[in-house]
Amino acid sequence: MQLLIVEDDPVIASYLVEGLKGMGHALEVVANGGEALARASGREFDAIILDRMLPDIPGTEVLKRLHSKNSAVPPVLMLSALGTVENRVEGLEAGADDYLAKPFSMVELGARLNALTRRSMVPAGIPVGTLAVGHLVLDSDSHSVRFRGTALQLNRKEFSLLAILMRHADRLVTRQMLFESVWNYSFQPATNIVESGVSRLRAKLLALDCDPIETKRGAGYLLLSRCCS
Amino acid sequence: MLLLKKRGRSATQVGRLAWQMAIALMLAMGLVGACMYQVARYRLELEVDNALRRDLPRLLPAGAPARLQMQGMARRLAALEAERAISEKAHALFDRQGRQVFGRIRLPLPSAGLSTIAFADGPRAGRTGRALTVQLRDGSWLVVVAESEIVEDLGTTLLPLTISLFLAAGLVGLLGNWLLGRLLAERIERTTRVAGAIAAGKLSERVPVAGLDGIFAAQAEAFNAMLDRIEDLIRNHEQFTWNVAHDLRTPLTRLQGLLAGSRKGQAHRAEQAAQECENLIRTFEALLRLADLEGRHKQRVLASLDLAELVDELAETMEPVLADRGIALCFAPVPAAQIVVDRDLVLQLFVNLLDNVAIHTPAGTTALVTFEVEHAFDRLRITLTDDGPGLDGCDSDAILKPFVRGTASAQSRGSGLGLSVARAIAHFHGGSLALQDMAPGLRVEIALPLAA
Repeated sequence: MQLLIVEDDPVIASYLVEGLKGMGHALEVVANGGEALARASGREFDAIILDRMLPDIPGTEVLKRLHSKNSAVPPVLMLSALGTVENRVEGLEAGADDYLAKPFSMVELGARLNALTRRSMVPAGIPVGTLAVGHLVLDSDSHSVRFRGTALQLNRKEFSLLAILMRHADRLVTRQMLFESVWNYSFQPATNIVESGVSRLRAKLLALDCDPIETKRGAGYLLLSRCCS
Repeated sequence: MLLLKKRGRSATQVGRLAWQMAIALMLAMGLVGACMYQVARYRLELEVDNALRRDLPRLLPAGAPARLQMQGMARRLAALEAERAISEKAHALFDRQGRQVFGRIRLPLPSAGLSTIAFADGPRAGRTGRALTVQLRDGSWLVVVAESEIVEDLGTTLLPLTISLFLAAGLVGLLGNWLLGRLLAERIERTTRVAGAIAAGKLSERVPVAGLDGIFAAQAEAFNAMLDRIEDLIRNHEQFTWNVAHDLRTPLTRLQGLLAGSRKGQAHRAEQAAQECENLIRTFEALLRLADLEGRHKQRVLASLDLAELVDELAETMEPVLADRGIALCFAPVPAAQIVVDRDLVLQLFVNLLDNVAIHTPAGTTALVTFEVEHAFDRLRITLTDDGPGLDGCDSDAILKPFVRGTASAQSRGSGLGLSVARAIAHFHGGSLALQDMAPGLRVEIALPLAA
């Protein structure tokens, strides 16, 4: 992917460069909003990583100017030290496609960039309609899940977890992404509610001889389509 | 509720003040009445005595025979009394031995000079008056008596007057003070209302100075100046907290970046360090939440939340967490009830409490949540009981303070802020949170307001 990184802190910028290069992305780094606007209109990028607090123009203002100048703006992931739900909503309303609070892990950033560039994930939203991965079929309208024709009883949390994993089948979904989409609490519980929720979902699937959820230690989960046939 | 109670109290104090002032005025008026009576009586007696003295030269004119004796005097008196059908004064003569020899009225011989005496006037006995007694040349005694009727009349006239004054003073005192009290209370009420609003978190509220004058205006202005200063301090403190929390996020990100660089060969340590970073962040989030709740800076919209929905959300979220640690989570039957809350905050309250059960109790523990609708108090009482180790002798009040951990959990993870935040959330909603060590086990009682 061609990525534009807008970050004024050199340590964080080099952390981003090192991590994203390791994932095989091509990068361009700028340190302020003015430069970001100039570069973004001159070249095609697959995505922009934009810091919210920049020395010249605030990140939210950069976003607004980008949208007013260009018809096709690449997906923007906003980075910020402001991490409350209100800050996140502000960022999304300003035109960001996703919002990540500092500090973040490189795995988290990578997974979100993947989700963003496929335009497949509505932030904090549950997919609608019918999803099918192999013999596993999920219908959001009737709130039902079937595997090889057998119905599976899931509560709302388990259902939402499965829906998001199926929507991103074969791709990493981080715990933070699941937490934001399924719970969206403004606070972080001290215990790992995502892990326990996924293990409960996994147990219910196992009862039907279906074991598609793989745990990526320290990162998140992925639903393997080959295990659903 | 608290505000209403305080208003009621101040009103009764004004009432008592009015009564005290009324009684003081009545006593003062009573005293004035008594003094008036004494002075008037003294003046009247003086007047009577002078009249008696003036009467003597008429009875003993300068030109009368120098040897006017008892018999002559008796004749003269009889002639004088016959001249006037009704006399204001009566006369009596006593011989040398003190026996009465003349007089319409009967009385014992008074001492010489002026004196107060009792006499009988025909059938009317026990009458009082003033007497002037002089000795004639032959040793007999002439007594001139004036009745005290006018002085007695004065008593009967002054008494109702004094009683009227007494009652009027009471009435005026009561009414006047009640009115003054109301005026004062209305002005003090403005300050009380503002103090209540400030206590409820509306820091920008001020006492309206318009319509006030004198010391009331000065007091309101001084009060407002104090509030300006307090608001300024709180805003600075709030800004400081935010700055600390936000400025710490950036170095933590950098630390995380540096850790990522050193991961080669030390994956486990790096992961531990990253976990510590996350714990630090959680602590700051909780501190921010506490500052936010206690300062009530953020405007939050409270909405009606169905108890059944809250329980479903909690059960679906926390039951798997507790089950993974071998802890059973049970809910008693949920009554139909609506609470007026900020949904996200109330979820945090209960998630924090259940997190505590998960972190601080061993496998095999059972946690039970029960509900009690108290319509009389417009509140819902939710009780969380577990049969874990309890507080292990720790003070249940101290453990609710930020960064205080129980001895049993000193080794466990946790920010030490979970219970403080939970209690701050309960208080934010006008509810309460109390801990009770069941030794063994812990009982947490939460009260939240019911929807009207």
